[in-house]
Amino acid sequence: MREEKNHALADLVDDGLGTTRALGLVWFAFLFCFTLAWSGSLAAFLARFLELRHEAAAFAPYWERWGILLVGTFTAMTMARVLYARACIAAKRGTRLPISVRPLAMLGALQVGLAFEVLAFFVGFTLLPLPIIRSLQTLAVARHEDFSESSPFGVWRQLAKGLQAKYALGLECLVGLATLIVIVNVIAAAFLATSLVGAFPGLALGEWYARLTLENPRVWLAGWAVGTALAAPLRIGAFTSLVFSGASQTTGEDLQAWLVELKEKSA
Amino acid sequence: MRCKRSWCTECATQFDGINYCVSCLALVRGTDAKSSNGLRTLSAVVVVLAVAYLAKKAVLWGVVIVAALS
Repeated sequence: MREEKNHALADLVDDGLGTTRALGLVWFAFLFCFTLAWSGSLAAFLARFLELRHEAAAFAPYWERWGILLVGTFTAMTMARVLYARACIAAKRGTRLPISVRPLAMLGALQVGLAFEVLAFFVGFTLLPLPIIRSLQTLAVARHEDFSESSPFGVWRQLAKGLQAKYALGLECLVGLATLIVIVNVIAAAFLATSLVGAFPGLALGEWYARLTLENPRVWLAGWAVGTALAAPLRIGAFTSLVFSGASQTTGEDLQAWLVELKEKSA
Repeated sequence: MRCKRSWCTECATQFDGINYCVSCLALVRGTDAKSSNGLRTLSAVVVVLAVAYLAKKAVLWGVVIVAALS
């Protein structure tokens, strides 16, 4: 059973960064690609919606096709996040966890993630509930092992048990701030790269100069997509640290319960 | 120890005369529970598919709501 513990949020982010570094570039690239597929498609969807905003409701089948793409990439990203969280847990425990995830654990993380994604599409435009939604989605990924035995309803009970909501929200805000810094850097790097490439004689970048302005919402959306994908490993690493540090404070009651259950079955 | 790693006696849990660490005990428990998990897995798949369908529809509803508000 989990006990409440005071966490220093900055230490958790630091720990997450350490885990990301320890896992190496291959794991980073793995999560980056899947996250970019989702954030890229969401950015493209928002850009298209901004273009057609006033007559958007008239193109229902078109948006439904976008829905299939967004749900597909979100599902793939969540599965990749679970595998990455598993690798983080293995790195923290210093063991080699089998890479295969138990189906119920994966399905539990998917169920929570998709349910909150439904909520995000309804209330996301108000922006305020987004940090809560994103923090709960990431928490479900980091705690996927808790869902290994849960029924679809049990998943919500497990998530509510030892939720550490205060820390999860605080961590989400801190990681969100880090993501914002990454986004600003990505956009600045894009401007810098265009200027540098433009210095070469014979390269006509006039069209790019016209498009690459801060007044163009597509620039911000593309920066958000890349920045979010770059910060994704840090996010999962930090949330896994939160869950791991909570789990390491267990009283041992859960292990005793497991042992009683096993002894009853073997008797 | 099943995972062949070194653990202190406080971290190890003995079951049927064999020492287990937390991960190994979880694996043993997992193997034991495998048979009763079939129905739960099936219901979880159905729920995930239903929520995914709802999420696909939510994209459209979200578009309609924001378009109506703007």
